[in-house]
Amino acid sequence: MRSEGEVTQAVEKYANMIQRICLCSLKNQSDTEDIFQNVFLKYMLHEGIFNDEEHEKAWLIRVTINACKDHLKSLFRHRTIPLEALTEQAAEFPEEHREVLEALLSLSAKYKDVLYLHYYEGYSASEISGILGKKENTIYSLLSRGRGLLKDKLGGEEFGE
Amino acid sequence: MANRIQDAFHLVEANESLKASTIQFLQSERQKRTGHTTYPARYRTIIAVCVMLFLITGINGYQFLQTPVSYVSIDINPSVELALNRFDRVVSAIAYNEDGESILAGLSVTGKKYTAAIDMIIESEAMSAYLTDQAELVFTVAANDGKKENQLRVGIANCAGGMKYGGQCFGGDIGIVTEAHEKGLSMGKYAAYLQLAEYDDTVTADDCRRMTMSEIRGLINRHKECGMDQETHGNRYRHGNHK
Repeated sequence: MRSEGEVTQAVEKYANMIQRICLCSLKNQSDTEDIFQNVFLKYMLHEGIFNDEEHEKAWLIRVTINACKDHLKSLFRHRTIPLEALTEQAAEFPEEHREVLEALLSLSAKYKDVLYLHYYEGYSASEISGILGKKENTIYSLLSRGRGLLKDKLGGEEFGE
Repeated sequence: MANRIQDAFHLVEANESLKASTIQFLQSERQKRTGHTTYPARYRTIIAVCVMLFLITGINGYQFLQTPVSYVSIDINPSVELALNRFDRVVSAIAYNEDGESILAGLSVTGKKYTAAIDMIIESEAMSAYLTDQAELVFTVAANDGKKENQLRVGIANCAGGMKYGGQCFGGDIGIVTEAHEKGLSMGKYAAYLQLAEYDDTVTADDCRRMTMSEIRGLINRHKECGMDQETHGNRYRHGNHK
C-alpha cells in the first residue's frame, strides 16, 4: 500500500486531469466523486512500480477511463449526456470556452477521450493507442472523425494536428 | 484550433472539497485495511495519560495492598510469621524454622483475613503434632499503633485457633521486626529472646532459634521466680491477654 503522503501528493497532482476525463464521460459531480474515490483507492493499493512520472500519469488515465466506463455500465447509463456535469461548473466560464466544451462533450464517448488526450494532454496517436488499448489506426480514425464533427458543431473552424 | 480545446479544458478543475473528501475517504480505507485507528494527536495524548494513570493507580494500589503494616508471629516450636496489610489480610507467611516450613507447606494463607489464616495454621494436620500439653502456643502482635495492636490481639483471642488451644498473646515492638528477621527469627521468638537476654546475657539468638517457645518461656519464668532484676524487663515484650 502506498504511503499517505504519496497518495495525497497524487491527489493534488492529478485531480484536475481526472476531473477533465470525468467531465468527458460522466453525467454529474456525484459520479465524479465516486470515480475519484475509486481511482485513488486503486492507486493507493497499487503495488506496482512506475518507471517515471509519465508512466504513472498514463496508468491513472487508463484507470480513470476504465472506471468511468464501468461506472456507466453499472448504472445503465449508456446514453449519458455529460452536459449536466458541465453546467454544474461552467457557469462562470467565458462564452467561447463554454461553447467549445459543450461541442466537445456532445460528441460520443469514443471521440471525446481521444480528442482530450490528444489536444489537451498532448499524447500522440501511438501513445493514446497504448493507453486505451486500441489500434493506432483506430486512434487516427477517431481523431480525424472527431475533428470533423467538432468542426461542424463549431461552425467550420479547423482543428489542426 | 487546438488551442481553443486546451484553453477550454484548462478552466476545468477539481474543487478543493472534492480533493479533501477523496483524501478523507482514502484515510478511512487505509484504517480499515491496516486494522488500527490513527487517532488525532490530542486523543493519543489523552489515551496515553489515561493509560499512565491507570498503570500508576494499579501499581500504587497493588503496592498499597501488598505493603505489610503489622505482623503476627505464631510460635510453638514451629515458628511462623504472618505479615498483614492495612486490611488485616495476609500478604506473606514465612516460616523461621523447619517445623514452621512443614506447617506452611500444605497451606495457602496469603490473601486471607489473619484470623482465618491463624485458624488454618493451628487446625492444620501438621500442627496437631506440636500442640501437646507441654507446648506453649504464643502469638506475638506488632503494629504501628496501639489501637491496631489491641484490635489484632482481640481478634486472635477470639479466633478458634487461639481459644481452643489456650494460646498466649503478647504485644511486640514493631521496631524489632527487621532486626528479628536479620537474625533469622520470627518477631515473637526474637522478642522472647530479648526478654531472656535481659536476665541472662550469655544466651544468644542462635540458642533461642534452637529452643522451643516453651523452653524460652520456661527460662524466663525461672529467672523471674529467682527474682533476678524483675524491674528491667518488659520494654520490648508486653505481656497481655493470657488465655
